[in-house]
Amino acid sequence: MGYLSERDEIELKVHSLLKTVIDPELNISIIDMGLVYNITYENNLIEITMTLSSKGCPMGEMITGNVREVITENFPEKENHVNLVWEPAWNPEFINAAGKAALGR
Amino acid sequence: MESSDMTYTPAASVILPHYFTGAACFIVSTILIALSANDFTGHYFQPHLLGITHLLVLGWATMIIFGALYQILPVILEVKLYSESLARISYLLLLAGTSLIGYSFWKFNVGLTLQSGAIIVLASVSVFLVNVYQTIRSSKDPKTDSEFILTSAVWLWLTVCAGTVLAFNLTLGFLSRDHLEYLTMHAHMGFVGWFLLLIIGVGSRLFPMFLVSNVKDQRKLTYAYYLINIGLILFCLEILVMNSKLLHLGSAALILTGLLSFLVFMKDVYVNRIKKKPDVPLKQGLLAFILLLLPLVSAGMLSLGDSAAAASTSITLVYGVSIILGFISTLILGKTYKTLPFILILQLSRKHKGKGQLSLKQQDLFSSRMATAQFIIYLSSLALFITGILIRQTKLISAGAILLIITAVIYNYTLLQMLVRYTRKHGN
Repeated sequence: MGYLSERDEIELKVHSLLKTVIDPELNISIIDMGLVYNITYENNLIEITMTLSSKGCPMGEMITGNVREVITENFPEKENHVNLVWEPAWNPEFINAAGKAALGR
Repeated sequence: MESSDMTYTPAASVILPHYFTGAACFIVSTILIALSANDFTGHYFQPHLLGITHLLVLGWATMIIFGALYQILPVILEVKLYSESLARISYLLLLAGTSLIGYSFWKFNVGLTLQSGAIIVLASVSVFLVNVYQTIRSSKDPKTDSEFILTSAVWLWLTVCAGTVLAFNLTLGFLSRDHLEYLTMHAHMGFVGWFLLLIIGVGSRLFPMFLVSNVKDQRKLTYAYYLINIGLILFCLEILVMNSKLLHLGSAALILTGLLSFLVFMKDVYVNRIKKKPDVPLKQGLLAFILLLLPLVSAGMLSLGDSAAAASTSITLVYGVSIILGFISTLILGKTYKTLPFILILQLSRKHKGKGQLSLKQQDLFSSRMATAQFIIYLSSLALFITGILIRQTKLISAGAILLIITAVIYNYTLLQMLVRYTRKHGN
């Protein structure tokens, strides 16, 4: 230990925590789905930039809510913010190898 | 960048009564079908069949669609519903009006009771149309699906206007042509203008989401929109003013081409899906589109055959039954198990705020085995019921009707199960 800065450690921890947030339709994590574009930690603020599989996704509110919950629960002393973006638009190519394996592709 | 605040949907108390009233209406309709098995061997224009048809299309299908739309429209458009109060008013009016229409047709009391029911349903649909229009108007980014939804709501309003005129014509007899010709127009405005356009609009959004399919090309939907609307307008004009067999067939061809364009879009969605194994509710939803073959084949037989022949009477009945029970009801039965759990889970996730992550899947709210059983029993009931009508066998019709009742009981039980599990989770 000691090789990573606090910032790197927190960003890695957040990445790992977001693997527990599951897309309820496909039943795979939002990390494996490729929905999370960026995670940053700066000035006590954890910022997650992410998208959804389509605009107007019925479960979007629940997914982004779960992202906030899991961060707040594990970093109660830090602020967090979820930025929902639509560019680049998500497409199936964003699913990682673990996600594709889980989907039997 | 945008904020992730996505709380657009109305309160559960606006949505859920539509689902449970629709489910109750479905069970009442299936019981009435079983009590009227013999009527399905005769002509379609008779009190019991008219009563059951209106209970099914208004009390069951339209009721659930109103509830689902009040949830889905704000999510699709990313705006709040224009008015929750108007949604509650349209629900109460639809319930009251449908009850009066169903009762008056069943008893063939076609005077003041039927006319009052028609006017109350018209008021309900007018309120619904205002709510849908204002919600779409407030969106900065209206999409193709909202055009389908708004146009279908306009067709619903026109259908109910035509129905109200027909309700008065039954006692006053002021229309120049045969009442049944106007009835054909009224029915098709409802089937094609309201149900089909709405199903295309909502289906073209929900099926790609549920199957996780990335079909970008929307042109087939645009073709479908124009072809179906132009076809339906010509169909109405033919009945109202022109009376031309050629125009009748031409309008049907336009509608059919539009429908095919949508079905090709759906094929693209299915082929390009990420979710390789669709769940049972999704399979049932997809099957509804295959069942569309039944009304298409029967419509083809009717347009080629002699309309006065006895056989065409049963084919006409098969045509109507296969649209209402075969296509629309199959789709609603399947879609309920996709949309209602999402509605409940969303409500739970709001209540759960600040209490950690909510790990709940739609399958946690109902038994998949029951859903599968319902699916199989429902398909069997349709097969028996439609065969019974075709060969005019009351026993087969009765057997199909009993299976329909069992389907409706399972459906109501599953909805209650979802509510109980939701309430338990809500309390935690």
